[in-house]
Amino acid sequence: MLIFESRAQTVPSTVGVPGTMVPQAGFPRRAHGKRLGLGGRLLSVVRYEMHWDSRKFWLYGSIGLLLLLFVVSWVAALPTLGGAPGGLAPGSTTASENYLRWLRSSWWEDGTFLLMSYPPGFVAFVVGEASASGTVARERDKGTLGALLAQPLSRAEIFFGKYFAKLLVFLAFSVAIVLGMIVISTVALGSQLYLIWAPIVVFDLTMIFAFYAAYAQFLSCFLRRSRSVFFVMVLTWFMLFGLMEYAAIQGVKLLPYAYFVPINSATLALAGTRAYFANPNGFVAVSPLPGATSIGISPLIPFNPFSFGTDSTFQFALMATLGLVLGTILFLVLGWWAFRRIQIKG
Amino acid sequence: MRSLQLTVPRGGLHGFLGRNGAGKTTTLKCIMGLLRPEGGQFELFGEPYHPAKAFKLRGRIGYSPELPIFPAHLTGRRVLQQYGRMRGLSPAEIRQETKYLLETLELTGAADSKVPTYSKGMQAKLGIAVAMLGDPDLLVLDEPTSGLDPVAMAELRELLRGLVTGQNGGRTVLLSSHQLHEVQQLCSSVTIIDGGSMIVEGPVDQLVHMMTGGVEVYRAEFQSLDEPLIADIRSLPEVALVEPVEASMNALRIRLKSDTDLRENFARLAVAHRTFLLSCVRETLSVEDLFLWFVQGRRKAPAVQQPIGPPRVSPPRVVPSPSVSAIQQMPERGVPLGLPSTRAAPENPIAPLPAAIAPSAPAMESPVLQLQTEIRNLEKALDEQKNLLSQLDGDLENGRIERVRFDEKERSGLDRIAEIEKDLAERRQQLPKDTAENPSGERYP
Repeated sequence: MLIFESRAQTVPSTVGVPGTMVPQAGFPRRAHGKRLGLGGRLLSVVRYEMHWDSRKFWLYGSIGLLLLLFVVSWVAALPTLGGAPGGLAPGSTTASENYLRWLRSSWWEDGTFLLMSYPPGFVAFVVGEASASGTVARERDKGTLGALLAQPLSRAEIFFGKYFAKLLVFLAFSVAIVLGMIVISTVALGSQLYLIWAPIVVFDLTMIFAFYAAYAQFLSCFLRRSRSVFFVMVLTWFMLFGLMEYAAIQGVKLLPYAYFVPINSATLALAGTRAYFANPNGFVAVSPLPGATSIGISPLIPFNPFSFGTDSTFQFALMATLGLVLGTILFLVLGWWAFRRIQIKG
Repeated sequence: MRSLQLTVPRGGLHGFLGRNGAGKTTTLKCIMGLLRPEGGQFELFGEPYHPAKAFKLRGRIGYSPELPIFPAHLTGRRVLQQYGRMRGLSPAEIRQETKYLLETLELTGAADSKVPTYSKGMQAKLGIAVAMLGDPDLLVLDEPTSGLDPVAMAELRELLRGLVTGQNGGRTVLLSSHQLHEVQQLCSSVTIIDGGSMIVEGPVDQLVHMMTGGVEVYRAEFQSLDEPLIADIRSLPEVALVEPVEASMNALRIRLKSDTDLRENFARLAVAHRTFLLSCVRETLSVEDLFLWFVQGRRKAPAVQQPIGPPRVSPPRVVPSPSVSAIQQMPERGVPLGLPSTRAAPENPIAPLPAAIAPSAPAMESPVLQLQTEIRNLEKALDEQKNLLSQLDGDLENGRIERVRFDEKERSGLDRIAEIEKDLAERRQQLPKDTAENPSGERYP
């Protein structure tokens, strides 16, 4: 039994001995610090985490540069699809021409659909894994977790504070990506309509980030090294991506499993939400995905792998969002379970 | 850890002593919630400890681990700001605390340098500064002077004294250390643990009294010694015990029955035997003596022949002193002196101390002695290997060694430990049965 009791005792003292630095009256009592509320404690962890992340200029800079290069090359490649952005030859019916027509005729979001579904998804993934994979593992890796756990913060506050810090960063990324999409699609395809859906796109992107962040933090609590987390997450992404592509090529219906594949889920959530708000009565027996049109999802995959059958658009939105939320919660719970059991040995 | 009962009095410095691997750091980490105890219970500030609520109490505790590690991207000032915020300090208080602690610990010059550029001593100081943020009621310091230079160590000791003394004091410091001189200079009470169990606890004065029975012990060095002189000294009514000093042929350790100054008597007896009393000093017991006696059973402390403590042990018995020839034949550290048992102490810490040198002590055969010496050496080598491995773990955690190199070193270390343990087992088997239970040659009281 360890007891810190209130029995007074004497201390061998050199107080007042010439040459010592101890003042006669001892060191004065200083400010104790007030007991922070839950918000204050969470905020202190968020700031600690964000300060750490803010040092990764090289990481975020490289990701932004890659994204920019991709977009520029994509826009530069547009004319090769069937004509100059200025207009199509009348009566063109080739797949590439149809695709470009679809890009132009649809609203701004369709024009950047590919940007939405793959590059930002990939960026979200990379940012999420690189940032969130380090939340716990990097602290264990570097040995700084002990100092953090010794502070007057509960483990739940530390765990979720770190997660919220990631969400804030991801939210900023989502806004930046959507703004970029609007600008790029306007420049490349002319004026865009329906900008009112931008917040929904931000929400959906943040959902993807949130899912990846939860997955990364979950792995981060199990694996001691942030590099291992990064490796596992890259492997996961390629597995998911490969699965989707394989299913598309084979013509396999991904539903209902697609709801739980984050990139697809977010796309579905976006499309479903858009369709729902466009037609508040919902239950439109037409797939909300652009890929469900006769043109196909892209010139490279000339059929729609996501055949939703009789699903309504509202159900799409609901199920897809639910898939993301459930996945996020699942990994947060598992991560928290692992984090509670971390012990600082050695 | 098992059977640990640690009571830290409020207001003062409490030493927490033990060998490497005794369980000091483990205990402190349990207090701080860094390790989860499998069982047992403890109270903090008089309140029962609940793991789920412990973080609230941590606001009153400052903790500095042996090797404090902080995020490498932070400067010393930033470290204090970040952790100060977590401790609930306002921005103004953080500025004041940062300035105060950086000045007090003499880190102002390096305040805006990144932590990795700090020397080991500076990092230790920064760890203490973080522990002192918000002026906690209880400071838990794990080997705080590890890595500090002598000047910094002295300054830190003054700082710690200043925290608990004076009209502004009242703080409590739990100081884990195996720097015995440091504990002796600082702490008024100590807890000694070994092998995860508490051996003894209490104020240093009381523990010293427990060892000596509260009487004085002198170390007298003569120009020469003979048997009649020893017999005369032993015949003095105030003398309880006379024994040779291990390292010197002409010195005696003399324990008195009461607090009497007999130096003049010794000098006269020396002259009467045509020799001189070169020196006669009162032996002062140190925390080191306490530690060695309680933990290792290697007594540097004065020999005590009579029982100490409550009368539940046998009455005092004075054993005749050895002959001069016996003293001269005695190797410097080799002959078993009837050392106290390491394991007997926790059960009965005030058990009678063993005889110093008794003529009736069984003589050891030389092969047995040789075996015992080998066993002691092997045990020492085993401890050293284990220490090296634990240091290696620390190096890995701090990034001072690469994983591949660590694996190699760990593998060779484990191989070496296996070899030593095998040799140790072989030699223990070779020991005669009557000594096998006490292979180090210690004679139990």
